[in-house]
Amino acid sequence: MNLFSFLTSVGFWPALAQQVLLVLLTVFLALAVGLPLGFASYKYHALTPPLIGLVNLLQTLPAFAVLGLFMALGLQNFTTSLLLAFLYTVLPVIFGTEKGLRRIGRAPIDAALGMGMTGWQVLGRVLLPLASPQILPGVRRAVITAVGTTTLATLHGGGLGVLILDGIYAGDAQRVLAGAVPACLLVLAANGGMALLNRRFVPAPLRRKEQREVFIEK
Amino acid sequence: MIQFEHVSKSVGSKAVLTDIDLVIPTGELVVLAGPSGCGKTTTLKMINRLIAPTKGQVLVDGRDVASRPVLALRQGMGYVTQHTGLFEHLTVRENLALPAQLAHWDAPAIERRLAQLAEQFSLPKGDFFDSYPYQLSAVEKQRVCIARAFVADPAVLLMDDPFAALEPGERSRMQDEFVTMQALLRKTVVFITSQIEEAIKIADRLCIMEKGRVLQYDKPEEILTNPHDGFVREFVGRNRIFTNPEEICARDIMLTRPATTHPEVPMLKGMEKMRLAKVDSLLVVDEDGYFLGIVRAEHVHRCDNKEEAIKSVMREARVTVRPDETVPQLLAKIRRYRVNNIPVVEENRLLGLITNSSIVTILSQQSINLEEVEGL
Repeated sequence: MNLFSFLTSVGFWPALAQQVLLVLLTVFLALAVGLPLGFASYKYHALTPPLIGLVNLLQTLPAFAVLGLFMALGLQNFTTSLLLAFLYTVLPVIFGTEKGLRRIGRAPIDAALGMGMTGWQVLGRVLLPLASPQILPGVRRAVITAVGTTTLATLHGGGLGVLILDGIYAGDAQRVLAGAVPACLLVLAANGGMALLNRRFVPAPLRRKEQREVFIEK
Repeated sequence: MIQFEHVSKSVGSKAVLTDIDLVIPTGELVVLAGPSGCGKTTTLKMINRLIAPTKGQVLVDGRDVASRPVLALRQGMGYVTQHTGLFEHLTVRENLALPAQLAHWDAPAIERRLAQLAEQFSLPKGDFFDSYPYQLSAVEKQRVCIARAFVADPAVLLMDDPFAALEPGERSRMQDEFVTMQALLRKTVVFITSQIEEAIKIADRLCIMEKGRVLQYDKPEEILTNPHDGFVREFVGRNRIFTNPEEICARDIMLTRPATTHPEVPMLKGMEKMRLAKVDSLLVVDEDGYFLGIVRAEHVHRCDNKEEAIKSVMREARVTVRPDETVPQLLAKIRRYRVNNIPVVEENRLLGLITNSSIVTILSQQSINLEEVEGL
């Protein structure tokens, strides 16, 4: 039996597809919520401590325990997996966005407004590019966390986690590997992909030194 | 023409600006000067609507700025922010092109304009336009920043302390260049500085502000000659122009760092100091700044043992003056005691030194005749 048919036989392909879908959705959701929240907490400074505090608190709860809570409540579907992963990915996005924007200072914003840019132009042509060295590592962190958390969350929701769990129940090491190895590879791929995105989105002069400097804890 | 009509601004209960009335005529360079926190920047930002007044209105060419489309208003004004507001993620070319792009110029027109500006602002040739702000020196950044304000050829320029980050020498050169450029272009310029020297050098009209109020707004010569109140007088300081010698105090014209020595210093060292400072006497001051006396080269010469401390040959000063004594009083003392210089002393502390030649120099600078004063 070759590898391909083995993987097909254990239901690997749908699991992978579901996992990738889940990761993409989680990241999309984290960006859709995290970027505006990051912007809001930059704009209204008073918002930052409670927001960071709340998300931090939620994150302090071990992912596995929260999963257990969901299960105890009888919630085990795609949505709960998504919710769980989202909980752990949104903070680095908020945090990175807020930090990146805060660093910019008054002068470039005044200059941009003063030369007659609209609010959206200021955001797109000045604020986001200048904040990107902090936003992108936040997103990178989010993506990596998303892959990890979704693997965990899909124990019952469908995804690579299912393969691992089923493999463990059945005492089938091959099946465990069929879930575990791709899950690891997926993280590595995500990491590599984010490095490429970093090159694509962070303007060259801002990419000079920061690579290691900003490490955002989840 | 830019007019401020009874403009006030308060944030919360704190008044930032109180009843500002200003007329900035077209084609003039008006400098807003004052200590930091006096409301200069707030005033400036009201012109391009970055800040809105709480009361009153700002008019540009007779129309309230609040009623104008804000983007068009701003695009018609060049703006140089405090601490160079260059965009770090864009090249020099991209930075410079932005205002023109916002005004929908086409690419060839922008390129022509940039070449013209490079000439005008003596920006380096070659790949300078493709470098990023972090690769530039402070002066280059500043030039690019100012050039950017000129790109769309605005009629009004708002400049918020643009030379603050420069070394004194470079700063002075930029001021000269700016004055020359303004003489040719005759833009309406509102310029902020906290340095009175810079203000005097470049201003057509000078507006002295403090604590959110305009204290005096006039031609610089007028402010230097007739400062309205104590704060303006103090702010203008040594740059004041005097018409009446009785107004000139010892404090205004004294040398603030005369050659001094400690009484315990050996005479040999004292001689060496006189030689280096090219003077024939030293003022003797103890470690707490109290004035003790004078030691002259001739006294040291007459002494055989030059290892001895200076205090052994030091003499008490024949005459001293207080800092508030006026030029006629100073001259009278110089004549009566037949001295060339007089220490300025307040509560036994040495503040400075008046020399005969410093009085003559000051009087000639203010075009006052020495004879006139002596006749008083």
